[in-house]
Amino acid sequence: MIERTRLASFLAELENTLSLMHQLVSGVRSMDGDGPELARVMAIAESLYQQQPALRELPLALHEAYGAITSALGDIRVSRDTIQSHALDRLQRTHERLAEVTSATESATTALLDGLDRSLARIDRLEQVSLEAGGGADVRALAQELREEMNKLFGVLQFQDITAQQLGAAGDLLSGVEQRLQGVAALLEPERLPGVRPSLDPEPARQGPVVFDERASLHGGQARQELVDTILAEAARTPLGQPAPQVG
Amino acid sequence: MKCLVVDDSATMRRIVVNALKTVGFTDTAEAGNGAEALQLLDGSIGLVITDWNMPVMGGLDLVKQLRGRLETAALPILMVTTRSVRDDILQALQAGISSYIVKPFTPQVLKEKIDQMLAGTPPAA
Repeated sequence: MIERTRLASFLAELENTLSLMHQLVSGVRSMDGDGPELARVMAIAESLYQQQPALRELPLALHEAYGAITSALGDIRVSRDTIQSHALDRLQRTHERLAEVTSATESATTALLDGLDRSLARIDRLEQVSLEAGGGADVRALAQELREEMNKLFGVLQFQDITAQQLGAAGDLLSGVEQRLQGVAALLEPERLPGVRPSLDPEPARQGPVVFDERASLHGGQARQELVDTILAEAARTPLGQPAPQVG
Repeated sequence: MKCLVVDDSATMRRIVVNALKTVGFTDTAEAGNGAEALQLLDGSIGLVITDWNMPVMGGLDLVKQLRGRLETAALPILMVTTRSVRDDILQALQAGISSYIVKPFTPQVLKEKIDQMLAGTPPAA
């Protein structure tokens, strides 16, 4: 804490310095070539430098600071352009690729489902024709085996929903990174990103409801169902609102 | 009995409808989110099978809405989702689901859960 006396002394010194600088500036402005005025200005300047020796370095310091600030601004512009051209553009392209993959797998899965539906219809037709032609229990059994194989394939196609959720989670992560980078770029040069809020927020605002499960997985389905069943059974024995026993 | 299948994925709805067919439930209706499902509800729906993460209205909100209405307070509701952590399951139970299946599922598991719900028996570990 600065003592009152030291503060008063500092303020007096500052006031004196500023007064001398004002006289110096006024003198320089009123100067008309050499003569008594020049001598007077030089006397003021000498007095000022005697009281504040560091002021001799002021012009050089200001010149160096100006150079450093100009260079930093140049670097900031380069950084902002780098963010825009390398990071943000790449993120946008990655977003588009993820959407393309999701769309492609959905189209392929729809085509496979259509094929399976047609196959099941043909199995029904083949069974009917075989039975009409005199086929017996073995025809029915074979037809049922084929149907079961087709239905297993239906189940396998659940991969599309799960991978779409995984891609959705990846896309959401990229959106977050993109928002953060835009916030930083807007901090550097807000006039070039008028619609973007300058921000260093670690958690950018989510837009819209969450339509994916970031933990979605194709693996361990049976084990996860067993865990769910254990929790459901425990919950059935324990009224909701009371602490339930921990399950592994 | 008519089953209402609610999922924002059209391919997933087809898979669930096919699985229902293999276990004997051939009368089905479909909705792409909870809000659409509520509009389809009439006295003919005897079972709701819903996903969790959906746009407009998710599965959890749908379950809460159904449990809040007198005419659907006792409707069997099966959650079919990729979510499988303890907190999610307890949250779904709190909302009022009757049972819970994790994706990817088999038609056998689907049949087992539906049979339990319709028989009114609690799920067994």
